[in-house]
Formats: sequence, C-alpha cells, structure tokens
Amino acid sequence: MSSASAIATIQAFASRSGNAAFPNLGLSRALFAQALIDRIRLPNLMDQGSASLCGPAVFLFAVLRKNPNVFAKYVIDLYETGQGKIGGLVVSPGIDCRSYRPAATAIAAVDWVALASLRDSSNLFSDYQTHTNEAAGITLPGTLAGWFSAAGFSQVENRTNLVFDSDLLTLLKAGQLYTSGAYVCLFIGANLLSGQPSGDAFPDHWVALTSAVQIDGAPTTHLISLGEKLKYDNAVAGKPVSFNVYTWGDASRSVTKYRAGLKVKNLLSYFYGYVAAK
Amino acid sequence: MVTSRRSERRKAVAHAVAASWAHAVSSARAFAPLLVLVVASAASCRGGCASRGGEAALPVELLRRVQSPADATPVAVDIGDERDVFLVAGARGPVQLWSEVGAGAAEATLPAGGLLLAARFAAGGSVFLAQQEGEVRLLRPSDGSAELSHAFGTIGRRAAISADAAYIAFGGAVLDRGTGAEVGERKPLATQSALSFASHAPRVVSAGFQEPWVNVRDLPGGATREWLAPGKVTAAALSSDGALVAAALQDGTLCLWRQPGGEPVGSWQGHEELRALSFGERDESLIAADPEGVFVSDVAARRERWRDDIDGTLWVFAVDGNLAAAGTTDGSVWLWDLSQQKRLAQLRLSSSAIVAVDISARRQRVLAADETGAAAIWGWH
Repeated sequence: MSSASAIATIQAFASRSGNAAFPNLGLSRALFAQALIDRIRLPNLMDQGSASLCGPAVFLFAVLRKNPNVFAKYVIDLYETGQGKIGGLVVSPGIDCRSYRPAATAIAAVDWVALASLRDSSNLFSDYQTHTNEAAGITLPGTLAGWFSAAGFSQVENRTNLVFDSDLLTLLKAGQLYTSGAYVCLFIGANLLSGQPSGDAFPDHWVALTSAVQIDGAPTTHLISLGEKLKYDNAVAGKPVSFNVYTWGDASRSVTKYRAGLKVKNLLSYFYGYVAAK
Repeated sequence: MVTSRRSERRKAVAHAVAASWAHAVSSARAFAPLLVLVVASAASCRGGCASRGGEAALPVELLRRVQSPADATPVAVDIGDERDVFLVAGARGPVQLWSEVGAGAAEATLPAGGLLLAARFAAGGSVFLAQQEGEVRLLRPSDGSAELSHAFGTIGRRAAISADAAYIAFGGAVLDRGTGAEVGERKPLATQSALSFASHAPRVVSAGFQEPWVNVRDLPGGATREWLAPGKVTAAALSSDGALVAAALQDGTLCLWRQPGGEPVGSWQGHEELRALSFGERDESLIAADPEGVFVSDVAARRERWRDDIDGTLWVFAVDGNLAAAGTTDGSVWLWDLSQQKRLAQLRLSSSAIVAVDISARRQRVLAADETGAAAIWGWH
C-alpha cells in the first residue's frame, strides 16, 4: 500500500472530530495527525525516546515500511477507540497507559500511542503506563516473533539466545535475510551503540538492520558457505565489521559510531541473535 | 512540553531599568481584579527544608489574557526583555507576538514552517525559531523578514541560541553567526536530553539519554570534551561562567564536573523525572523541578538544602535570577523566591494543563499557556 493512501486516511481522520481515547496527549487532533503524516513520510521519526520501547519500535518500523496504511489505521483506531489492529494482532492498552501524559521531551505523543499501547497490551502481569517503566518495557524474542506472526508477516524466524551471545554465522544469516528483503531485528546489548563499556553487555535492546553486513569492507555472502567452520576462524573474527541499524529515531545508525574498527569477535559479545520476517 | 528558562539573557541585559509598573497597571485596567497569591502556610516541605522566611504574599495582577488559534497547541512562551511584548508559539505555529497592554489582535504573526523545537526572543529583539527538520531562523518581528536562515540538514530534538545571539546550537552542531560556518565537528547524541549555553562564557553543553554522553564545546574554537555520564542523562546545565557542568541522571543522581579539565566534583541524590535543571544566581546552587515540586541544592556542599512540594503535577518550569515559576497539569501557575526559599503566589490560568511557562525577574512578569491555547501574562512589583 502506498504512502499516499495512508496520508489520505490520516487526512480523513484529521477532518473528523471527537474525543481521544488517550485524553492527556496534550495536543490537538490536527497536530497528532500531522505527526502521524510525518512518520509515514519519514518512518525513522518514530522514536522510543527515553522510554524502554525498543521492541515495539522495531516491529512497528517494519509495519510502517511494509504497509503504511495499516500503520496509520492502527494508530488512528487507537486514538479514536482505544483499540487498534494490525492483521490479526489486536492491541488494547489499559486505562493507565491511555491516561498517561507523555512529555514531548521524553517521547512524542504519537509514538506513545503506537508503541506503548502495543507493549501494554502484550503484558500479562505488568502494566506499561509511564515512559519510565523499564522492566515492563522489555520485549522477549518470542513476543516479538509472535507480533510478526499475528500481524500477517510470513517466514517469521526467531534465532535468538537469551543466555549466550550468538555466533558469526547467525549474524551473517541475518544480513543475508536483510538483503533478500526481510525485516530483520537484531537482539543486542545496547552498550554496543551507547559507547559504554562492554562489561554488562547482556541482551537488552532491539534494533532493525538497515544495511548489509560488511566484514573488512566487503560483502559477506562468500563467508556463509563456510558454515560452522566460521566459529573457529580466528582470521575472520579479527576483521572489522560494520553495518547500520534503525534505533532511537535514526535509520542509519552505524554500529561503529563509538567503536571505530570494531572487530567481529568484539561485536559478537553484544549480539544475541535475530527475529526476521517478510 | 517542558520548557526550561534561561536566565542568561536576562542577566545579560543588566543595564535596563524595569519597565514602568504604573504604566503596565494603568494599561491593564480592563482586566480582572487583583489575582493573588497564596502561601507559605499552605506549603508543604520535605527533606532538607530550611527556614521559609515567614509568609509571603505577592500582589500579582493579570495584565493580559490571549487565545491562540484552534489546534495551535502552544509549545513555547517568552517574555520580551526589551519592550512590553510577549510571545506564544504553537507547536507548528503560528508564532504570535502580543502587546502586554491593550486588547487588540496580535502585533505580529510569524509562520513556524514545521514542528518547533524552540521559539523565543533573541538579543536585539528578533525572534529565534528552530524546527525539528533542521531549519533555524531569526525573524524581524516588524515584517517577518529573516535576519538569518540556516538549514542544518538533519533532524534534531534540541536547539538553543546563545545570550548574545552569536551562536546557534542544533542537535550536535553549533553555528557561528559571524562566520556563517559551523564550529568544529558535529557531535549528535541519540535522545538528546540537554543543549544549553553558559550565560556569560563561550561554552555550550549537550547530553544524551540513550547515549549517556556529556559533551562540552568551547567557542569560537570548537574544541570539544566528552565523557560518559554514570547513567542516562535527563537534563544538564552549565554554570554562568562555564566552569561547572551539572547533569541529572535517570535515577535522580545529580553530578558535577569542572571545566575545562573535566574532573568530577561530586554527586548527590536528587529526584527522578526531572523537568528542568539550571544553576542559580552566582552559580552557588542548582535549581531543579520534578513532578512533585521544586528543590534547590547547594553546589559547594553537594546536597539538597530546600524543597517545596506543590498540589497537582508540575509539568513545566522556568527560572530567572532568584525567581522560579512552574505550571501544573491542572492549570495552576506557582511562583517562588528561591533566595528567600519561599513560595510567593499561586495563580490559575484555567483547568487545562499548563504546557509552557516563562518568568522575568527584571520585568516582574510571569507568562503561561495551557494546552487549549489560552495564555496569560501577570505582573507585580
């Protein structure tokens, strides 16, 4: 579906009236609609801000690019009725989430509606009701894969490991899936991107792959044929690796921003696998 | 939207004599009777509360009330330093300049051109506008023509202009208006949580939340120093002389570093969910606000020395000199004298959330706007 039809959907929404199911967003329907149009035109404007909503962000970043009209209807329905739908994925945030007043400096109102609603609706035991909720914001790989499946994506694949960091072959397969047109979400330790020391590089952050993976400045297709042997290839492990991801409102964030010359073996200590879908 | 006041510009205009109170009062006769105050007896105080200095009662008078166009949810307000005018900016415009006196239409209506990150008067009386999409402008209020228009070519979350309007900061970049060129290398930070100039020194600080770095840039050379904060940064500020950097972390910790060396000075526990952070007069204190109230910390002792909790939820906060103002989600505006450590007044604009507030110690004005677009300016002497 085109962006044009999504924008037409949003303009129709803007011309209607009625109360929002999120009464404390602090901005008019027209401004909300304009922010939504901005995200249709430039998907990376969708930004978790200072909220722990990276899982919903990477999933909805895929929805937004695959079918902007579905994304627009999802957000509009949440705004007007308090319930949204993406394929068979029904999102019904609780009253606390809907009543929250997001500070624009923390997270934009339209992103709160889109992201926090999905997170809150998917939580069985804890509410996601303020942007400072950290534990309630964590998205497990199975949950993310479940969202893709319920939303109607195909070839959903979950290759993650919560305990051990993953291997190079898994990273290369993620890159291969990306180049074949899949939406690929990498499970990493956020310290990789924030520049903090790697000492506590446990898996706590989702990013979306937005470029091919390169090793030593070259494509990696030929390396995949090495298969399991890659695990013991110290030469490859010592080579520099680079690729870009979508995270924190940036669609082309390089993994080497704070780690010039990042080597494969160092990257892997932050990498815990991927969830992909088409 | 949280709007943090910048006392620097007001401090810089040291020569000016306060605008004539009599003139303001006589011009405001059409307006509501004396609104007033409230106070100390109703104030609550916790943790480190010092002497309140007795009851306070500040006679505050409504000077003018205006209404922004429908759908123009305000994002910023500013009190003019140089004449009796104030600014109310909608999130995507318009930016309207209103006379404090009279009841006519806005003096000027300026287009925003996009989602505004900043809108305020700059030194010389022009209006500074910065858009999320990277365009910054300095507009002449008289005819809306541009003194300056510059495109940074990137999306940003924060923008600021120096007290003398010589430099404009946007995201991780700083523009030198004199040369028309950017100063030094860009240092963008994901989820930038602070960007502000020292009021009396050529220095600017930037900090990030998801990328918890603090970056200090010297001007005009552009040399930068950056270091990892010990946690995600929610707010940061420079002392007026640029010699100290303060940062508030997600867990409520307040940290200080000395400049230009960068050595840590110390840290202490403040409060979470900070709305704003700035240095007090003479840089001897740190002033901050959280959803429950305002608190002042002693820089030398590195501990909180006074706190005042309010009714309702504090949403926006502004400081100028010894005065502070806060707007709450229930439409109230609170005023404090920080040097006396006492609450001065509680005003009511409406029953809607206050989304922008400004205070001027020199001009003795407080200005607030709510989410429906209603705005009011009050004065006292």
